[in-house]
Amino acid sequence: MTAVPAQFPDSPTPADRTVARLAEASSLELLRFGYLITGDRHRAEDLLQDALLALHRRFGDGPMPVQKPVAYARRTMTNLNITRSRRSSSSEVVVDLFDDVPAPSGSDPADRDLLWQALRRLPVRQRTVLVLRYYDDATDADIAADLGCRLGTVRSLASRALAALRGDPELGFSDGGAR
Amino acid sequence: MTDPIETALRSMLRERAGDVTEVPGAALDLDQPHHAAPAQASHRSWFLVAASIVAVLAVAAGVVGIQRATRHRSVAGPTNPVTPTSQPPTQPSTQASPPISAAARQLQWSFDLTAPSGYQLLDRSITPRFQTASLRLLKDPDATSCCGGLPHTVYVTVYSAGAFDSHGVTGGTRFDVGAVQGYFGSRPPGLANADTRVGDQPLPTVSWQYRPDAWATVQATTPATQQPAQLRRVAAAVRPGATGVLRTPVRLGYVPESMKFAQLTDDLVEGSGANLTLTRGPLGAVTTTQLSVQVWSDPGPHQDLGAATTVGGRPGRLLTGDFGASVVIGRREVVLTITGPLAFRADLGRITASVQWASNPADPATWFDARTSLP
Repeated sequence: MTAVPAQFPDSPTPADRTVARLAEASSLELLRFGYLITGDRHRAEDLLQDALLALHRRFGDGPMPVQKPVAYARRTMTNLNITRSRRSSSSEVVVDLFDDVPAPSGSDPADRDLLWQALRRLPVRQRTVLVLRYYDDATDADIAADLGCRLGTVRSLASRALAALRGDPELGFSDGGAR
Repeated sequence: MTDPIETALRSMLRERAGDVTEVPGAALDLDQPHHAAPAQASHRSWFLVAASIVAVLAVAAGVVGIQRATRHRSVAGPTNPVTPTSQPPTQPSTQASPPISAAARQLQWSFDLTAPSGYQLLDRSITPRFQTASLRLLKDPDATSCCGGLPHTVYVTVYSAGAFDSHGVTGGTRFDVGAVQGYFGSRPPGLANADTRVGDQPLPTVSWQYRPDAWATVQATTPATQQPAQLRRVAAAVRPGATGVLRTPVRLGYVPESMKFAQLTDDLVEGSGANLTLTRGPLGAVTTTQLSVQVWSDPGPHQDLGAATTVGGRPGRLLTGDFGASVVIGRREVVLTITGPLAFRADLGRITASVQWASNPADPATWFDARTSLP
């Protein structure tokens, strides 16, 4: 296992903006982000790997011509994940699912986390906006900028996602009374 | 007031992020970069170690195909309540119209835009200072998904008189738009506010004056749409001065004093709905009191939430989480929400009681001219 890497600098120099430097300094951060938007560690690893490959194919070994490489990588991961989600829903045949290590049912805290399970059931667009808003503490404007979409789209997706969670009977947010 | 589900989400996401404590670099083996376990056919081995990644990437790039975003997604037809003047509703509401207030006068398109061949118009937006339209080039190899939706790659912004900072514009290359002298240059996105922001990088921009004191711009985000010929095609399709009527299924007889029209957005093709927003304070700020009227193109999840209520005489649901009210009409849902200081939310009852519905709110042809929808 690699050690927890240093954070990617907020104001990277051109030398810091290479894909290799990004992978070195921000893999853990990006892997966590991938885990939250995919809901699955293995998919997160695949997603990060594919995103870094895509970045390298696009930018090569030189500096990435972007001011915020981490945000750019997140955006790449987001779009790859959404594209993959669509593709898998129409063409991918899942033959089986395996865990890294077989574990007794319910032994993973994540399995017992109803809100986490409900989040994983949301459409990928809605789930991603909630992760950016409530994990990254990004403003809606920042989310729109990160994802390359309109502020109104972000608000719409967040509104729908929160409403769906409130309506999930397992979560107990749908009593209709004041909280 | 903190929404409990938002608090719970923050806490849960941080806890779950903690599930990932390290990058599984132990699987790195440059001699065997793809030794996936048989039981994990979709789980490729992890080989991201900084010292080796570039070499590995160079090899793997030829093996692993990265598919581009979906490029030719079929889309539903327009579901919005906005009707250009050129397409008047067949049977507009015959109910008496109140006078048009100064704020409501802004709820009218002041430019027309027919998407050039090969482009698709995705959404439009009105604010007091500018109006926008987003388009995409249908066959654009560099377009990626926008929030998982259709990629917005070209932005048209038509500024109100005096709202555009033209400093430096005329220093750009001359780039006529039809018979009008325009300029081409690199301009930052977000010329007006966050709603026109599409990233951090300056974008190729065509700017021209459609009136002596008023400007319009076209900005593009992908190599294909940034071609001068493409920018010129879009710019030539913009016709400032044409007007279009917006239509809404509801008319509000009351809105809290001091709330001003802030924005109307209209998703033309993806079903995110139309959203009319009034605010007391800057749009988007946490402390701003905001009243929104959203018209969705599907029933949505609210119908099973909250308590029963009535909105303008129609049965609906009172949404304590969003603090608003929802009414499902036909295949659409109309949601009124108010956010901001708790005391201000007491106005919701008065707002919902003041709602007047179009004669047949399920039929957009009967909806109100939006300019009469605000007191």
